[in-house]
Parts: sequence; C-alpha cells; structure tokens
Amino acid sequence: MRMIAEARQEQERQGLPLDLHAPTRVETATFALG
Amino acid sequence: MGYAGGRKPEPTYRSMGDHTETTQVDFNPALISYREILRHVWASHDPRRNHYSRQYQNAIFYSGEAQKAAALETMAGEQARLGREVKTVVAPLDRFWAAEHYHQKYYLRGHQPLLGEFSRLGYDDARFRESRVAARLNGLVSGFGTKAQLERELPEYGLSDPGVMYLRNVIAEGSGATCG
Repeated sequence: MRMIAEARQEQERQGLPLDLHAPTRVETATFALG
Repeated sequence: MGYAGGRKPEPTYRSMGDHTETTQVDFNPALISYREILRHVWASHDPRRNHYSRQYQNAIFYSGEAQKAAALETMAGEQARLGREVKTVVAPLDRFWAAEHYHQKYYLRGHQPLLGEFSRLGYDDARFRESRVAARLNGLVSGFGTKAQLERELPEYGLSDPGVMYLRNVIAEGSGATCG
C-alpha cells in the first residue's frame, strides 16, 4: 500500500483535510422516505 | 437513522409512539446545496400519496428559515408539476432522535471485515454513527459512488491493508460501487 502512503504524504503537503473520520457537522437535512 | 416528527420523548424502534422513521444527513453546503438534496428527496418517492402509518410516511423536516423556504418552494413546484395536492409532509423539525445503533449504516453492517476496521480504531457506537467514513463505506458497499471516487478517497479512509483489499474486492465483484 505504498501508493496510499504516498498519496497521504502528498495531501499533507498540500494541506488538504486528511481525516474523513472527524465529524464535520456543517448542516443537516432531515427527511423520511417510507 | 432515527425518529422525528412526533412528541414521544426518547422513542425506540419498539416504542416509537407518533414518530416517523427518519434519515438525517450531514452535508457541506459548499459541496451540495439543501435544494439539491431536496431534489433527490422529491425524486425518490411519489408525492401524490403517502403511507397511512406515521412510522413510514414520507416527510421533509426542515430546520431554520432558509430550509423552510426551500422546502415549501420545492413542494409548490411539485404540486404545479403534478397538478394535484402533494401528500408529503413538510414540517419543522422539532428534534431528531438517533435510532438504536444496530439501525445505523445498515449495509455496512453486512461487511464484518470493514466493521472490524472501526473496532480496531476504537470507535464506539456514537462515533461510528457520526463517522463520515462509515457513511461513505455504507454507500459504496450498497452500490453508490464510483470506483474513481473510491480510489481518490481511499487514502483518507484510514483502512488497514486487508481492509483496503476487502473493499476493493467488494467493489470489483459488482455488489458495490458502480463503474466510473
């Protein structure tokens, strides 16, 4: 998985958000589809 | 997944009271607008009829004035398009109650090797429910998203090598993400 490690390093260099795991509750949409 | 629209406090699946089974999604309005989400909601059901049971009714629960305006405007648009009354409930959201953990990320729960990734990373039920990665994987394994998107985002998921291999196999076998 070297490619993934390299991609991660590239993202770190570019300063992009890395962690999709971090909750980023910006806005919510709430609906029901029965 | 959760319950909304009713008055019963702390509803559960077995004791839902007057609530409706409801989906709540987090979104970044810089990437997708509330109106675009509504477009999908309207396109995903038949607004001309609704279920007799509150548990399964079609509904849009808006929060705030901007969402209210968008919900009512799109409802009026649907009525004009259909030429008849829209039965979908459009109402303010009072409170969203999260459903029990076993209702969250339903499709992902069928993939134990991927669930194991979250255990490995120390996720509890609440963190799993709120996880963007869990939401993304849930979509991917149930046929949404593209292979290109998967490969682009894979480094951000934090999966182990076996987890990555498992996910790629799921997608390659065609039960997961569509081509693209």
